[in-house]
Amino acid sequence: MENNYYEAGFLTHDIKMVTGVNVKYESKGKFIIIDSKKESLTFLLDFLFTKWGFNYLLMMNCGIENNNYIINYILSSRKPNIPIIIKISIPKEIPVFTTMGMIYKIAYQYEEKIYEKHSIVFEGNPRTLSYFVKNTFGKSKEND
Amino acid sequence: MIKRYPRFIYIPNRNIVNGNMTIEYEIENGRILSPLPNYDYEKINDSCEFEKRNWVKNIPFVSRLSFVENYTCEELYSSAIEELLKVEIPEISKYLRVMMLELSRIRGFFLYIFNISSALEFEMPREWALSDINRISKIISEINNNEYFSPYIIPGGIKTQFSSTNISVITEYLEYLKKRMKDYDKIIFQNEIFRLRTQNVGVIPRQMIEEYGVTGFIARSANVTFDIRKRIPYEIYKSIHFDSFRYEHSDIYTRVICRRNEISNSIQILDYIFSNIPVESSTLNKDIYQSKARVLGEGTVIKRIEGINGEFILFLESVNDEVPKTIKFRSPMFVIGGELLKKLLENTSLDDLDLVLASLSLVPMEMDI
Repeated sequence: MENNYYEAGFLTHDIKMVTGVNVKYESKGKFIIIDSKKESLTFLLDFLFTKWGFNYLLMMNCGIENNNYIINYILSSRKPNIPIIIKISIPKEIPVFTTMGMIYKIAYQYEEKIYEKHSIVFEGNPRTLSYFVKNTFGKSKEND
Repeated sequence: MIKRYPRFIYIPNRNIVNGNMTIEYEIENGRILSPLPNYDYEKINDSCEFEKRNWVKNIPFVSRLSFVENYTCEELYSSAIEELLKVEIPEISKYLRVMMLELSRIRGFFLYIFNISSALEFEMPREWALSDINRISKIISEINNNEYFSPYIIPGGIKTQFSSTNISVITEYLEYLKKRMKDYDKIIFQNEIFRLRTQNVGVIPRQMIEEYGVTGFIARSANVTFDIRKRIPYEIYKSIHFDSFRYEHSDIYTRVICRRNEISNSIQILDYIFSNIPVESSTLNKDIYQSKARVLGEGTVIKRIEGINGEFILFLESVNDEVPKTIKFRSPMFVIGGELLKKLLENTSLDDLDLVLASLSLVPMEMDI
């Protein structure tokens, strides 16, 4: 238990120092919550992946809050046993975000599911094309 | 000039895959190109809508998420609700929950043997596995008031009372299982034809497992020793010691042997349970079903449980209401049946298609949880 807290304390401090985002350790649920800006997400994920070994994307889900889409990235590591939740807010009027498939390959599949449900376009993910791109540059209708 | 091939649609036999699915692919020199699995026939879980009912009304819907891992889903949901409500459950129900999870793991193993034997066209072990599935299902039903798919693990403990006759039935079954496994060893696991047919077929490199976050027996067979029961123990797993095995690389042979060895773990765990189970009359903390105590506290819960085929995850958010704000389950099938299957089938020989599908223990209805 003490080791767990020590690990969590060190981890939250390191994230705060390097990336400057809001980090909170939930001692009851034993996980870390990070509220990140969408511009710095790629850097944050890359930092967690390479330095702390958070190479396992447990889950990605999307909800609606105050007219914004909230995307949760839940990460886990094989070494520290503390999952991390990263919350990203995207305005409902511009449902466009960047794919994280270059860091976590499984992200493509989660993003596809979110796209099917909420129509959020993840730029860089070929399975989540906007309506305009799909109809202009998408698949030819030869086979249909 | 780009070569174009006709696309074929393959419908796997239901004895090989536990549900309905199709695979669309092209063929070049007897090898599969650009496979595309489709699980749309099993999109029944969309209607669950957990965020529209209060947590008590959700209980029967949780067990319907999967017909293979129904008790795993119940355990996930119940432990998450208990954490939000801050309630303790009776000690005996922790033992009974683990007992049920391990019994369903044994049932899952026989289902796996049934799939593999069907793909290999081994008639004898296939029939044996079928009779063993029936036998274990009957025992589980007896424990759960003669209903296999009705909820057993519920928030607060266990739904039904546990009697001493159940203990004798299960201990008798364990003795039978130990003998039966020796027969299975002779007929399938030590069988030379089985070894030659499955070794170095459907190999999943360790790098692919880490990239896609594959868990469960597939990851363990590739020497990624990650078991939630040991790393983040829940219920009484902390006090139980069971062996872990090491394998070199994940081909079909190793995956089957890995599942076989894990049955020894389940027997070890069940032996521990019946030698240490406490004597308590009540298996359910009924306080949480009183109207005042039913409001979930504010907070977020992440629960992780080692299911039959891999790690099951639940993400639950609540804002001081009886109705949860967000409930999201993630089954191991999401990864195994999605990206991993696509990568694995690419360039696989058509002869091995059935065997590769069976070795992954696919459950299509879990894809859209």
